[in-house]
Amino acid sequence: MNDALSHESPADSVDLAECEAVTSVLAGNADAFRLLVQRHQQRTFALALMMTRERQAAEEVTQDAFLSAYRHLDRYDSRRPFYPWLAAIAARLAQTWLRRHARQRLDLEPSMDILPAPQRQDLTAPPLKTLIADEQGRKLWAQVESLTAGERTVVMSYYRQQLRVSEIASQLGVTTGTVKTLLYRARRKLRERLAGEPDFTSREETP
Amino acid sequence: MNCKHCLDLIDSHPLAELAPGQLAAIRSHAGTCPRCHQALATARRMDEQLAELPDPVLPDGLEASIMQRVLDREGDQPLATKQQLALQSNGQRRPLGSLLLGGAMAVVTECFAVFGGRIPFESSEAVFQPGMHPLATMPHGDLSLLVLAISLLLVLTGLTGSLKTGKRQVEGPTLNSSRVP
Repeated sequence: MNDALSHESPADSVDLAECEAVTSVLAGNADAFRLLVQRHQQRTFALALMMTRERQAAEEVTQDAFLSAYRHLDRYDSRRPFYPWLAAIAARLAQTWLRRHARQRLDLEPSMDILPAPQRQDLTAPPLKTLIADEQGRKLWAQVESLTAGERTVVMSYYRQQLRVSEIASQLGVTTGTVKTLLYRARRKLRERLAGEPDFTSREETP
Repeated sequence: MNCKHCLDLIDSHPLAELAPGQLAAIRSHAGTCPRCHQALATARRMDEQLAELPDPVLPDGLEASIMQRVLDREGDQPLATKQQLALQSNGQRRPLGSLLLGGAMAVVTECFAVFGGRIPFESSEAVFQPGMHPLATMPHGDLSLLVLAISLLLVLTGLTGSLKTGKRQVEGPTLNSSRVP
């Protein structure tokens, strides 16, 4: 089994320090919110960037997500981990951003997807794959970027955000069945596209 | 297991999420089928790579920008904080006010009853016309008794309010529901 894939991550457990920070913010100490920002800005930005594929938009979504979380902190259930709740806010804001920009650009790509149509590749924005140093990673990123917005979001939420299927479903406002279907479709596409790449087939599979 | 079933299983979940029995069945089939063997190898490598992809570089000053916006909008405090502040500013004052008013009225009434005699509630008869009499007048009784009853009601209201306020302060804010804004 691959340990890197097991979802026993910090997102699964309630962090005492985060609980205290939330309580402190609710008691009126706004500066206590900094801990939550420090801990989750990286993953939130990655999620927003993966969904919007524009750094400027991702930054805007990340900031808005934290601000919204701060303003509605009383709705957060402190018995649950903080990040999935924050990620759900960020995902919805990113979806709103995508919808707004899809309307602006009249770029309504026909899709079976439940999520807003993906953006046309913005040639002025640095593609995500340029952030990846190694060749193998770049190939994979290129393929991930070519997925539909829904497939891409599910794949990245599952692997990179280390969220459970149920958490992704909650984040996107869809059923777990939809998430599983998107994950299945994405994995199949990626596997078939990467099958011809030597890097992805050279390793000997030992039964 | 046939190839279709095997490939469906490989694509359905990351390999680490499959049940041991399912993985064993895939491996068994892949051992005799080159196509599924390659698919399994690709899926495994893909899973590893997806899990190991680095995070994108954060924009400069992201944390500072977020905190600046949070601190700038400190007036928009979380709802629980607002509720607490409202309780502190109004909620505590209201039961205390009721208690004081009720107590004062009770004292005045009792003083009046003891030292000033008892006033029959008859003034209404002078105000209302005879035709309105049955509907508008109150039953005859002691004014002091009526004021005393109102005083007791106010005292009880004040006491209940004080107890509730104290309980809320001990429990702190409740965070039971987790609703995404």
